[in-house]
Amino acid sequence: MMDTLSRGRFLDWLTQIYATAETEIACEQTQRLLARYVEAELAEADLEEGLAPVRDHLTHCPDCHDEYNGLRLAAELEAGGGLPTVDEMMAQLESGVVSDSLTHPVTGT
Amino acid sequence: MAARSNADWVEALSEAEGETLSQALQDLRGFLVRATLVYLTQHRSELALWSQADILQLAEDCAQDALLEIRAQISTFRGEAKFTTWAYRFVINRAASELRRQRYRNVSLDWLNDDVPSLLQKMVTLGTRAEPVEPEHLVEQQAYLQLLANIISAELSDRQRLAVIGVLWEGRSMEEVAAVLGLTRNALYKLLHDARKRIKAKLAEHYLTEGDILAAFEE
Repeated sequence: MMDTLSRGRFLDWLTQIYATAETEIACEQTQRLLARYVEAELAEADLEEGLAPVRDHLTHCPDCHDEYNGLRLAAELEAGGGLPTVDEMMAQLESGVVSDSLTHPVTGT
Repeated sequence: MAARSNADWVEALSEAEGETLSQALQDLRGFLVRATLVYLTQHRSELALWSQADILQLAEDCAQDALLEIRAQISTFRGEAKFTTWAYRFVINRAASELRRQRYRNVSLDWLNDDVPSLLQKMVTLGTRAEPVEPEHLVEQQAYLQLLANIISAELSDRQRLAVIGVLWEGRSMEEVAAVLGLTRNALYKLLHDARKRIKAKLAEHYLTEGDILAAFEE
């Protein structure tokens, strides 16, 4: 469902205006760095200098942010034991409920 | 299936033909389909009217398109991330683009004619508490809204204004607004960045901080 005009969106927009940097990377460069950025996040490593602009871009670009969310979940699942099978995911889509095991893979213990 | 290293993937997918290439393509296609489905689970509500067969077909189509793109771009892979993470980016981009196209296929373009002051007013009015705002607070809010409307109307180009309204206020996708304006998504980002810088600079000329304005709209 598409977002509509709202007070929350207005306040987010104001925050974005003030968060604007003099130089920012655009979508193509962000896409090229996205895999590295996601893996650095999952490793909980300090972001290399070259990756910090990706984080800034993601706060301003809804399309890149959506794709980042998908890539992060896929990478997280893979790191946690592997992507679910097609059958498992079709069952999730059919049920309309994304289980905790898919959104928050068990890691560590 | 034994796990491949980054070098294994690159070597196999760089082959011109043969069994090694065929097996790698088959395996990667499987991973890409599953990565697409992971992405689609995050958009379950948008797929409520889709059949399972259609969802799976979308995932397979995206995987096939991404395979071609990945092979074409294999020489750009620098090994700075896992090969599969790098590859999933292509297929998720495909799936995301397709969902956006479906989402906005039949949506009207009436927002192109919206005027700035009334849009700003609607934004801050919707979702507010029923209790009346104190008069001095209301005056302050109206002054800020008028200033923002003036900046957007007088300081931004027509294309910048449409981009701000479409993406930042109406919540439309970058791809949809880029298509309306005849731009790439990359060019639209730069247009919006310039617009944000312009607005920020004009607010600074009025010595207004983020806290000043946000405080006026706090409930």
